Amino acid sequence: MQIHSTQLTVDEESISRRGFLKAAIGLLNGLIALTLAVPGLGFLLTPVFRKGSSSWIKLGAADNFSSAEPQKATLKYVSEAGYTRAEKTGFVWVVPEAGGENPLTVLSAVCSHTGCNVAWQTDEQKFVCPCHEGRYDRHGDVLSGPPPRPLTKLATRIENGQLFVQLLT
Amino acid sequence: MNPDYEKKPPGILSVVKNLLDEPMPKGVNWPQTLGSVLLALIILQIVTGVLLSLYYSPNSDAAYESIQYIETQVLFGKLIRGIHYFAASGMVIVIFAHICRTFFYAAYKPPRQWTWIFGVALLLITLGFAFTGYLLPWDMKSYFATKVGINIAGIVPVVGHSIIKIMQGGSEVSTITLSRFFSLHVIVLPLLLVLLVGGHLYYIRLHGPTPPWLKDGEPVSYPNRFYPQQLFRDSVAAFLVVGAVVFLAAKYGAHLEPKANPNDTSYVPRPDWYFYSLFQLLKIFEGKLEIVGAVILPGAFVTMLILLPFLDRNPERRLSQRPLAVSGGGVAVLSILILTTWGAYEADQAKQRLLAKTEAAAAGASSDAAEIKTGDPQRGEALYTALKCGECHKQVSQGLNIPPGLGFAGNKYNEDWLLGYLQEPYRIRWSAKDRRPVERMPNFDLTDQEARDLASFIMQNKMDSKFPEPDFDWAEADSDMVLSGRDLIFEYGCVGCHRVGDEGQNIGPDLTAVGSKLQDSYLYHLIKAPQQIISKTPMKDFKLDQEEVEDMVAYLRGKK
Repeated sequence: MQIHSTQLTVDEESISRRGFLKAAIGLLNGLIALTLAVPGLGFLLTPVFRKGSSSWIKLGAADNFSSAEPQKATLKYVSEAGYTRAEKTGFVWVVPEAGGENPLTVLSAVCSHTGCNVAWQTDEQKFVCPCHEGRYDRHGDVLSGPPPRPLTKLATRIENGQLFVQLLT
Repeated sequence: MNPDYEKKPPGILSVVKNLLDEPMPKGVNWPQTLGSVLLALIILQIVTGVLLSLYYSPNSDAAYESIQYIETQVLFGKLIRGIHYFAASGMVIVIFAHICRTFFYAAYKPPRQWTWIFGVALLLITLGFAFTGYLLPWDMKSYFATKVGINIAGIVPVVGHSIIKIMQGGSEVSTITLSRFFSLHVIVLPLLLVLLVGGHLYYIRLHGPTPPWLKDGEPVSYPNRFYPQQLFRDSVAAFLVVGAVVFLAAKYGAHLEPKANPNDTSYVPRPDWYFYSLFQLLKIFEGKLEIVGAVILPGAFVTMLILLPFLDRNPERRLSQRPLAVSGGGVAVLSILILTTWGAYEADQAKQRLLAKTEAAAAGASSDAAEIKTGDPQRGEALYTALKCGECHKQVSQGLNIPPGLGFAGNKYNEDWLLGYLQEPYRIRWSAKDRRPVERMPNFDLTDQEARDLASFIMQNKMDSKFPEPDFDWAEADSDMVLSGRDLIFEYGCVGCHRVGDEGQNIGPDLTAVGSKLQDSYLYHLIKAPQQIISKTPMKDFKLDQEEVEDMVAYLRGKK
């Protein structure tokens, strides 16, 4: 009986020792993973935390856009991606609004569905997206097709007769 | 049916359990944790390497800029790159210790010869990673150390020059070389590494750990299991090493020298410390014997390492029973340590000589240098050349003016400020949202005397015609002027770009202590007509009248 009880104590001791070792293994490796995961995730997710910027781009004399039809206006802007900086060209649609609060509205050409470029179709009098047949009226509101939202209206201002548009990047 | 059968954990769990349950021979202890530490470092390198590759660009036009971007713009970028750098050094140290341990414990002997051979291959792969890795940042060290490394291949008879062309992808170290090294570093070597680590681990499991000091076939007792006893030791060791790497990375970060300039003649290229032994061998054997140090000795050493299990047929493991192997191994280890230390010493000497040379060139003035307190522009000029200040600072100031041209530094700075800045540079501009990353000037660790010499030289650069003496002396400015200046700063929206104390933006330079930095007359002329002082500066010319400018200067000069 005595021998049996000693054996039991040894076993209990070794069990608690094993328990400690197992906990320590989990803790140490968990700490290693954590010291790597925290900076690693920050590094990976940097673009998510980065704030965008905006700039005002000149589109030309406001008088140039006096025709009744929406007009395509090309613009040059500086695009900064990481350590690169390049001049790029893009375009927007300038829509004359007779009797509106602002004489000119500027619509983004990016379809709200999957981001293709919409184009003004004179015969239909609609903006049509070539990718999935989304259709918008001249104010950019959805008429038919899959687009979930109207075309984005860009902020504008007219200074000394020149039309400027605010570009968000 | 056996009732235990249904209780068995299925599939992957039983495999893991089986792996963890490996019996450990008596005597396996802390020295046997080195392999696991290496595994931890490899995982560290894979994770940080993948992260770095998300922003890095392997193109000689963009590589350096992308590293700067990682260092200054990416969250934890400095730390992640630092970990990758220090873990690389750590791997070389631990692999060296691991191989020494295996050698002196005679764990390379049959049946474990394949474990050993895979291990030697892993050592070579690690050195390959080191060599291909340090070209990638495309800084001065990258460029020249790689050039030297590649040219060593030219010593090989007959095919040497072809090897150089293959490695370079042409007749010089170029952007093609960078692509090749990048491909090796992130595709070829990692694949080989994973395969070889797999093979290494397979053989370790196949034959089990070596029972310390016992001959093969002697009875062995297995008192412990891998889990938890040995895994606990492995975890402690890995934790300590990873902790040290992260600490060093956080404290020092990885080194980044100026961007590679192939035309530089004053740069002294030195490899990273783990190649010092090879570097020193190159220096010992000169002229026709060159090939001995460059190819024959290192080649023979590697061949010996690979063939070791077949050359050493003595089945004994105890040190006392292996006099030849132990003394041979001892000599090899000592040689590597001595060559590495010697190489480190010589590298340091070369650096000192370069410094001494610049000082000697500038000497001639006076020899009782210790007492001098005023700066000597002649010595300053030598220092200016030696530190290559002119590589970044041009004469004329333009545009964003980063870094500033020093052509009229004498009209611009207060010498006391310049002196302090040279000794402890800080960031003048912070990165603004639509600007490129803004780097701080490197700290050149100048002594007090060197800083005085350099400052006195820089202050000699003057363009007095550009800065005619203003009519007003601001020492006589009254508090009304100061207050009106303060209001004007806010009225004109200066704080839209500049920070003043707690207010304003970090787009232009901080004005909080501008009074101690800039001379009154410089402030006056700059505010009056910014584009005339710095052409194309984005600072707006407000076309202020005389009085307004004077008031603003009165306010700003007091910001100290």
